Amino acid sequence: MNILGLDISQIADLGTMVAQSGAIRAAAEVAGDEVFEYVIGIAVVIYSTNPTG
Amino acid sequence: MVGCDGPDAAGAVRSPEVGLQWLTCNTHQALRQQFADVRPGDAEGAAVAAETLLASGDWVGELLAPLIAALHRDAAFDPPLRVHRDALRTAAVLFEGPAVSISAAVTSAEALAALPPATSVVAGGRLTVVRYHRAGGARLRCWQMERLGERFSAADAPPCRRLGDVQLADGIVRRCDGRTGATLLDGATEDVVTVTATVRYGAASLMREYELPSGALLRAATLDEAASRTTMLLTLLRLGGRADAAEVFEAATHSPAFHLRWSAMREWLALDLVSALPRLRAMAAGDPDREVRAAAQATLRLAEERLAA
Repeated sequence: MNILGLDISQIADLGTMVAQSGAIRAAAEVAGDEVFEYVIGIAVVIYSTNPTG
Repeated sequence: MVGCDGPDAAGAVRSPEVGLQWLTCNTHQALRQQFADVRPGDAEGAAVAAETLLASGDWVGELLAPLIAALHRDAAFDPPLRVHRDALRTAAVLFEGPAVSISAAVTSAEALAALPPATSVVAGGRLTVVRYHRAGGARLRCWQMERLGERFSAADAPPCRRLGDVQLADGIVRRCDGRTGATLLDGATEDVVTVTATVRYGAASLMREYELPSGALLRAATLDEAASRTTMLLTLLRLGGRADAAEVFEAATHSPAFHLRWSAMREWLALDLVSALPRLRAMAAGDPDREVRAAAQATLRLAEERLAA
């Protein structure tokens, strides 16, 4: 049996839009550097897990 | 406070071992003790304890000394500090406890001077206590905004109001209540060194950004990480066609966060209109937030038309 759903783009949204946690930054923070830290963090975890791999 | 020593072994320093020693050393224990008497949820008590701690900056040197010694022994040593770097600022989290997290930051005067004029200011939603260890000749530009009420609406949010500037000096300790205020650092002639205690208790539900110079509200974001994760997971359930998860959607539509209640209902309606309909009717009739009620009423008409077709 097919389940009936509304097209989400047709469903009303609130006048007060609230973004996800972390979506607003204080002035002049550079998101790219956080991405850099994230990538480096993953690299550190991989290296720590298997340093000879 | 008593300092703590790194390992005695010459040569390579094992980062995890030093990190573990550091976290259990006397200086770190003294930091925990500083906030031990703060009752859970007592934001004012946490702020007072932070003000007492930040009246002096001597303990920061003691805290970092073993890590600096370890770096001297091994340049590849990885200090157990969460660090944030960007063009303007380098910051490290020194301590994380139930009541506060404490970070130290160096803000580049050169980078600050090169910034274009700020076009917005952010009320972070949390209570902070800041020690301007080296003020660098900077001043604070300050704004005040209304405290978030239960009935916050972007449509009728009053603008923020400019307050007088505050000239900083070395060693000044200031509270900044991010629930009702925002600041921008300006005019530094030398790098600014700060130690900031961010109180975990009593935070506002939203972080707000205001346009400058008009002061009008630009946007808001939740400070509730659990609500954000829930929103994303509900989207995942909808995309996965998980109509068997109605109880999860129903529970989220009872969240204290108005935006999460409606976000959950949107996902539920897109997934399974029939199962979501009774709760949609209830929200249209009696949700405590008027925007949620209005959205539910509008959507109820659409839903009933769709079912009648």
